[in-house]
Amino acid sequence: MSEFNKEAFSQVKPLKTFLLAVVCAEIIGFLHWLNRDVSILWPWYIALTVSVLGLLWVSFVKTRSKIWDIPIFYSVCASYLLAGGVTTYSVVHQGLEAELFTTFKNLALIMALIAPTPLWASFSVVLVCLFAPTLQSLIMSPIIANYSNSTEPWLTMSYSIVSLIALKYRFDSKITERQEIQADLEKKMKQDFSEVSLAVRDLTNTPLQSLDFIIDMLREGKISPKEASDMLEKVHYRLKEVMYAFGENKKDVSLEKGRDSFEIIYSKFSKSHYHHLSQD
Amino acid sequence: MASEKTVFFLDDNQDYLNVVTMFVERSCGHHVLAANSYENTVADYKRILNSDLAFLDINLGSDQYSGVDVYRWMKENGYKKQIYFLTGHGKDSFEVQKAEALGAVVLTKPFPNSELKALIEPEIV
Repeated sequence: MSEFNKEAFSQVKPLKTFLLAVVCAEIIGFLHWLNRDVSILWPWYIALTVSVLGLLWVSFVKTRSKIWDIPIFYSVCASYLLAGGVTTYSVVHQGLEAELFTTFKNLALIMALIAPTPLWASFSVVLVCLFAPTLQSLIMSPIIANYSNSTEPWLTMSYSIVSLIALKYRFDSKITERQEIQADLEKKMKQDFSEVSLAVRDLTNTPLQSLDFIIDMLREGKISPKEASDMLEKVHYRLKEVMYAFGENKKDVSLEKGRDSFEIIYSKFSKSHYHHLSQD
Repeated sequence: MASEKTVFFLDDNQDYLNVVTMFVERSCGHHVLAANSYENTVADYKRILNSDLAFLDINLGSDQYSGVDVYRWMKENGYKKQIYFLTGHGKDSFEVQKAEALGAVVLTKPFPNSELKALIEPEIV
């Protein structure tokens, strides 16, 4: 379910493109078989209706729940493949000369190119394209093997296998691409963090150095209390500026409950600075 | 007390310059020349190039010449005395690495006051 949510429904554009491709393929297929006087055409009406409705839904219903995307996808695929299967049966029994299983080949091709859904959904449809023609040829309509000069269902199967490989390649590439983006992001974050930490060190180290001088001069009586307080005020102001700069971003940061602030800093940085401090 | 020296400090933080000037003059008894930018350093070149020792802050603000640039300018103009770099950044910052590549000593703030005194008056320490 997690992959269902993450992958399937974040890709409205590919789903829309996929549905558009299927609608085009169905219109061409329907007109083709209409001209060839195929006796059973009703599955094409169903397929076209389902696909057009799905396309309209995905294109125009902005407030749609994405939970319907996968059922729409499967309904469109199923109705298209059903139309193809029934047409194949009809063509063979009418003795018409035609290329068989074009719907399966088309769908396998569309899946390989567009792949609008998560891998498991795309794979399942291509697997249907792989085995359904075989089943139909070997079990339901053995006549098909003789009819198509023995090229079917093997030709359709080869389309499906190539589609499976292409799909796997595309998803692997996508995963690699995401990992690269993630790695770039992490690198950028580390870089930003280093820059901020350097800036903080610079902003706080100079006032600290000033404090050391002031303390030394006070101890040695080289500075009057008035001069010292004036200087301390400036150092204090400088340190407060740093705190204010951090205050701007404090809402984005949540301090772990019960965790000491120094512990957090030392866990993120090398221990060397702490070691230096403890020696002082 | 050793003879009075003239020590040059370059830092973009004027408050820090005021404090370090007071410290060196009152606690160490030496004269301080201070500048807060490359331009001010160049403007006061006669006195600065005659100073006995120089401490240059590396980072002088964004889009500004750095302490490394001032170091190069001083060397190009015949400054032979010791130059130290100061930085509030860690040793791993790019500018600090550039300074170290010049062979100069880089002091990371906050350093002990005794270290500064020792650098100014090595004969005493």
